Parts: sequence; structure tokens; C-alpha cells
Amino acid sequence: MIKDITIGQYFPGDSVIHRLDPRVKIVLTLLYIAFLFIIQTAATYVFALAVTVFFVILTKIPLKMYLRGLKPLLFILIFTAFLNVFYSTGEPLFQFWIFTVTLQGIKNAVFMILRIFMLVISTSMLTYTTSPIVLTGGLERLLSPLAKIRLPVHEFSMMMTIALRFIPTLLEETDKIMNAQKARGADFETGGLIKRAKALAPILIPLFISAFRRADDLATAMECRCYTGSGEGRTHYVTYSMSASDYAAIGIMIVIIAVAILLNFVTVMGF
Amino acid sequence: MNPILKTENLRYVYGAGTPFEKVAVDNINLEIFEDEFIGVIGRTGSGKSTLIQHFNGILRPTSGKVYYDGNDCWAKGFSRNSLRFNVGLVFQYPEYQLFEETVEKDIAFGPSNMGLSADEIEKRIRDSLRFVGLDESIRKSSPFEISGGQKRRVAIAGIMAMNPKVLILDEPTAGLDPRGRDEILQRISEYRAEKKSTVIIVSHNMEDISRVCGKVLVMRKAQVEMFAPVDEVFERSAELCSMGLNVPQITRVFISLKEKGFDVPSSVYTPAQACSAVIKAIGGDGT
Amino acid sequence: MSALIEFQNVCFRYTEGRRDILKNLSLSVEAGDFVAVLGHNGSGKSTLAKHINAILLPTEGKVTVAGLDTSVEDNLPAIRRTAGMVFQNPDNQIIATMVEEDVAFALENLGVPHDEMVKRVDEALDSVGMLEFKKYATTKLSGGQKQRIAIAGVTAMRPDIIVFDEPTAMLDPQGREDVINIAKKLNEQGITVIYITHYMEEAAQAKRIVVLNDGEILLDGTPHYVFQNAGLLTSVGLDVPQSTSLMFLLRSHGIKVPLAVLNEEECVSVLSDILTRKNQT
Repeated sequence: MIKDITIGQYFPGDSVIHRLDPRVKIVLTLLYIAFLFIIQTAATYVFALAVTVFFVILTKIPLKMYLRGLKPLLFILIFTAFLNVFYSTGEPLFQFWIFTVTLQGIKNAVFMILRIFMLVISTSMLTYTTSPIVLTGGLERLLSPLAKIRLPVHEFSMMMTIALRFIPTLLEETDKIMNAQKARGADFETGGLIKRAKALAPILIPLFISAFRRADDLATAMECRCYTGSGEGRTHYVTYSMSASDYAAIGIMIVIIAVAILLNFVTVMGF
Repeated sequence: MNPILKTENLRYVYGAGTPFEKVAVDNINLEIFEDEFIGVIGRTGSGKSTLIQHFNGILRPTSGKVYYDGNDCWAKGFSRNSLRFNVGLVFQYPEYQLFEETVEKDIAFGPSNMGLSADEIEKRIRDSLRFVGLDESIRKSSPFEISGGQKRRVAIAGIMAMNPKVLILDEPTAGLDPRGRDEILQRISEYRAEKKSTVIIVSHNMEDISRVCGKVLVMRKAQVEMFAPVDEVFERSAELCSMGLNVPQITRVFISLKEKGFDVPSSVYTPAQACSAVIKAIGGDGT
Repeated sequence: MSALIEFQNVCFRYTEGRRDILKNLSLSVEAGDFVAVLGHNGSGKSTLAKHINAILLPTEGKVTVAGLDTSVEDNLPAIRRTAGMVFQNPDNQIIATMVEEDVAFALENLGVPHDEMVKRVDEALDSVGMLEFKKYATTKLSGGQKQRIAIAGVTAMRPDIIVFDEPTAMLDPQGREDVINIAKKLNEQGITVIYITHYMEEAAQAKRIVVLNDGEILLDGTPHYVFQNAGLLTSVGLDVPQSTSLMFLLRSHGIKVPLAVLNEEECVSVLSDILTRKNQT
């Protein structure tokens, strides 16, 4: 059924990573991604991989879940690997037809795959361990300085909050309307493209009408609860205060990046 | 006589294999015959809505069987599309499924999915409008610009127009005012009397059910608790009360009187019945 | 000194030339009252409700809430804080994904300091018996529970008035009972309640009933007074509680009973009397 789709891909839990301040998590994830792009040598890759696996274990979410996120990227992975293997310059290892395989090519391919792999895992880690609502809240707080230069940070965050709140409701509603139209003999499964597109009207029209009605009701309800549309003068119920583990996480990340840069530098010199 | 609808050890589980797994209906063995008028009652989450969605093949049983007119609804070669035309299901708040530009087009949606001729569809539209008590003049109106009560009736007409052998309505009076409630129930009764079809109404409101139905099906915690004629079910009204069901006020009054030791019948659910019971008890002749 | 809520000759229509939904309506509600508003669909009940916190403004006439004219824009924040509103569809008035955050919404908007906010959220949830659901996702709740959260979201503002606009129309019997009981409790705590409903048994529990018909006040008085007009009520598409109609029936059969019988207890005691009297003679 349609409502079985899990949106946001959040896995509730109580690990150290789950409990970190969302702002810290967002910043550290960004730092980590940046760091993935500066590393160049085999030794540094091994180190980064070890760090990634270490964090995965800390989240207490099975590795399987992370790998699932890689599946849609499989084609891109293979394609980039292919390009890297055959189109790199350097010492030819062996040759056939018009292709030249170089040691550098293989190395580049492996590195590229590892980089994408770690990239996906680290971003998944952020969404897996942070509920969407907390994530938006953290993002709003991080971006709040931008409101000073008149960027609509509050509006953006309110929009996200409401979207997250209504996704399950609208999915459930879609399910209901589909069943109601099926009960009138609507057929969504057979026929050509045009017939199927036409068959969607009995679902989409009631769904849109209902969404507008809900939006209207919600706007009134928000106004009744003193919402004025601006973030000015608002206070926040959810507050984030940095705990010891947040500072520790920042410290650990700084050390990791320092070690990696050093390792990278040393090994680049060494090669 | 064969039952028109029958279930055998019907069981349905939501979200099987997830942490949200929930048995919605279990061990349901029912026989519903042609021409019966059945009210289904039970608390929220007792499985009422899940059960009726099995009758027209919207839900597939996790285990057990559903038979329509003697045929297994999930056997190979059984046409569930024609099942949906034979067992018409009006969902809760059906007005939210309206989508066409005009009332008549919306009512025609079911009949045209059945592949009926234009003449036949025209006849169905006229008949079903009459059944729900709407005037012909509403035909060209947009279903979004008529009143709430009218929308509800158009939606019901859309199912009636398929001329189903069995008509099932989930909470047809929800959210209506007292007159709207009476009207809808009245119309459904008349429809049934004329069509001789089987009608099933799901409701929270025992008063509604007692007014029109012949038999009551009481659902409790995914199971059938009672399935008997209205009077027999109301005989056990104290039980219904303790199950947290909403029995009519007058029924509760008579339960209290009985508990106080007065010799009054317990199967009372309308003020008229109550009046004659009181007159009988005081030996009056009603003058 | 005017009453807490004051409607003075209010007319309302959506656009010029269309029919009046409220017709020259005057009404005043004193602080601490519990007023049920009855009327068939389209009688103007919801329109009346929406005037109390300035969602709608009168086309003619004047509405004041706690002395504040609703048509003066500067009064809006104060009016919204004074008169909270609970709507019919529980799904469409919940803003946040988490229960506690939803209850805090109005307080955030009002700029209540954080510590005070935490206290008031807990208080509000407790007052509707939903404290244990504080950390729940709002979408996982039943209709009745959602409605209680919506009420908590309003009480957290500490309003003087709460307007309930058919809060039980979409609920099951259990949810309905919870909501009317909460409304009564809030009223006992001093909040003025305006309660719009289709259910006669709910209206019978109010202190005062106002019956609307086509934008005009048809009846206004105590439940005992209003329900004595059974004929008038049915003629405008309404009803009376079953106990009341039983009394009417008994009367028509020559049995002397009081007409002003509204609920189970009153009915049981009247019938007990009749039956006992009979046994003694």
C-alpha cells in the first residue's frame, strides 16, 4: 500500500549519534564531505574508510540499511569506474583493442567508488539519525543569520514543517480516494499511457481539492493561534544546547581531519 | 437459499512484518442473505471498515475466504471488477471522491466503467437521483458548488447508479444535522424496499441502526461479538453499554430502571417504545 | 460595561448582493457562560463563531470581544489571544509533527519565553489528559486525541473564551464524550465556552442554548426552556433529546410528567416516580 512508503528515511534510535545536536551534525557532515574531496592517497582512503565504518557502528543502524541507499547509484558507480579505468593517463598496464588500462586508471576508479560510497553513507547517516523535524529545526537555526540579509529563513522552515506534517495525511488520503474510485470500477492498472493518465483524473482532482481545503483550514487555524507570518518576535519551543558529547564530536572530527590531512601530505610526498 | 456474501475464517493483518503490525479482523465467519438490512456497529478500530472492504474485493484477506454468491472472490478467473459492481461500497465522507464537472457526469462514472449504453446510463442517473431525493435540475451543476448534504447524496447516487446487488455504506450520516441524518436513512430504506437489494450500514450511532436495520452485527476487538436481529441485540443492551458502545439515551434510562428493580423491558430504543412500555407498566390504557 | 462577547445588529454576507448569512443578529454573552449554538447546516452557526475572533468581520453592525471592536485591525492580536478557536476537522488544525510542538505553536507566535513555554505546554496537555502523549507523532493519534491536542494548543494561550466549531462532528462516540467533558471542565475553571454542535445531548449539557435559523436567533435560553419547544425545533430540522420526546409522548397520553427533562438522570427519576406511584396504589 502507498502509505507503507517511509518518507525521510529516519530510523529512530538512541545512539550517541542520534543524540547529537542537529546543528553539530549538519556542520560536521558538511565538513566530512569537504574532507572526502581533498584526500588523494591510498593510505588516507583506508583511514577515511575506517573512520566511516567506525561512525556507522556508532549509529547502531545495520550497514545493510546504508548499502540500500547505494543501490540507485549503482549505475553511476559502474559508469564512473569504467571511465576512470579506461581514460586515465599513465603507465599502461595492459592493452586491448582501443583501450589502455593503466595502474593510475585502476587507482582512480577505486578511489572514485570509495569516495561516492563514503559520501552516500555520511549523508545517509545524517538523515537516518535525525528526524526530519529536528533536521529542519537545526537547519533553520544554522541559517538564521541569513534572515538579517532578508532571506526568508523562517518561511522556508515553516514550509518544510507543514510539508512534513501533511505528507502522511495526504498519502493516506490518496489511498482512500483510490479505493473509493476502485469501488466505482475505476481501472488504474491496464491500458496504454494515455488511458492510464486519464484514469488518474478521478484521483488527482479530489486530491487537489482536498489539499486546497486543508490548506485553507490550516491557514485559518494558524491565524487563530496568533501566527502572523513573520519569524520576528517568535520564540522557539525546541531549543538546542550543546552538550559534552557535541563538543567531543567536534573535537574528534577536528582530530580526524587533521590526521587525514597530515597523512595525505606525508603520503603524497612519499609517493 | 445461498448466502449472497459469506466469509470463512477471514483474517486481515495490516503492515504484516513491520513493527506496526495489527490484526484488524480475525476469525470472521458470516453469512449474509439477499434482502437483509444489516447494521454494523463497533468502536473505532474494532475492524468494521476493514471487514466491509473485503466484501467488494478492495482488501485481500491475509487468510480465510470471502464468497460472493457462492464464488470464492480470490479464486483464479474470478472477476473482481464485476464484484465491485455487484457489491457497491460507499466510503466514509464519500463527497470527497467527487471529481467530474457536473453532477450527472459524476454519477455516470460507475455506470460507464461498467460499459453500459448511453440510454441505460441516462436511466440510471435519473433513477439514482430520485432515490437520493435530488431534483433533476441539479444535474448540470458542478458537484463542488452544491451544499454539503447534496454532495453526500450525489456520491451515494453514484454507487446506487451501478445497481449493485449489495449496497454497503460506511457511516452515511456522519457529520450531518438531525434532518440530514433522517433524510439519508429514509432514502436508503426506500431504495432497499424498491430494489429488494441487500443493504449494510456501518455506524457509530445505534439509534440510526435501530431505526432502519433488521439485523445488527456487533464488532469488538477484530471479532464478531453478536450477529442477531435488532431486538435480540438490544435485549443485551447492558452488555453493549459495558463494551463502550453508544446505546441510545432512552435505552440507558431503561437499563437504569431495570437495575432499580422496576419490571420494564430492556429492549427499548425509541421514545415511542418507551412510552408504550411505561403505559403498560402502570397498567394504563393510554388515554 | 458591556458583556464579554457582544454582537450588535450584525449582518453578514460574503459578497454584496448575495443572501445574508447573519441577519441583524444581536447577542451578548457574559463571562463564565457555556453557550451551545444549535442550528441546521447552513443556518449561520459557523459564520457566527468566526466573528468572535475576527476571522470574519460583520458587513453591518459591530462585534466586540472583551470590549475590543473586531473590525479594528490593531485589536487583532489581543482578540486572538482572548478568544481561542477549535475547529471541526482535527487533521486540518494541527501544525506540527510532534504533539508538544503543536501545543507550543501559539506560544511561539506570542513570543513566550522558553521556560514559561515548557511549563504551559505541560499544563495544557495535562488539562486535556494527553500529557503522556507529549512525544508522540500527531499523525499517529485518533481523531478524538487529535481534537484534544487542538484544545490544548488553544488553552496554552490561556484565553478567556474558547469557541468550539462543531468539534465532535467527525469523532466517534468516545471522542465526542471526551471533548464535551473537557469543554465542561474548562468552563468550570472560568473559561467562557461557545459550543457549536449538531448533537442535542451535547447541547443539553450547556448552561444556555442559542438556536439559529437562517441567520436569526430562533430561541435563546436555558436547555430546559429551549427543549420545551420540541415542535419548533423539529420544524427547523433539529431534534430534542430522546428523554424529552418521551415526556412529550407521555403527556399526550394523559400522564402528568414535567416537560423539562433533558438527560438520563432526570428521566430515570421521573419514570421511577411514576412507576413507584403506580405500585403504591
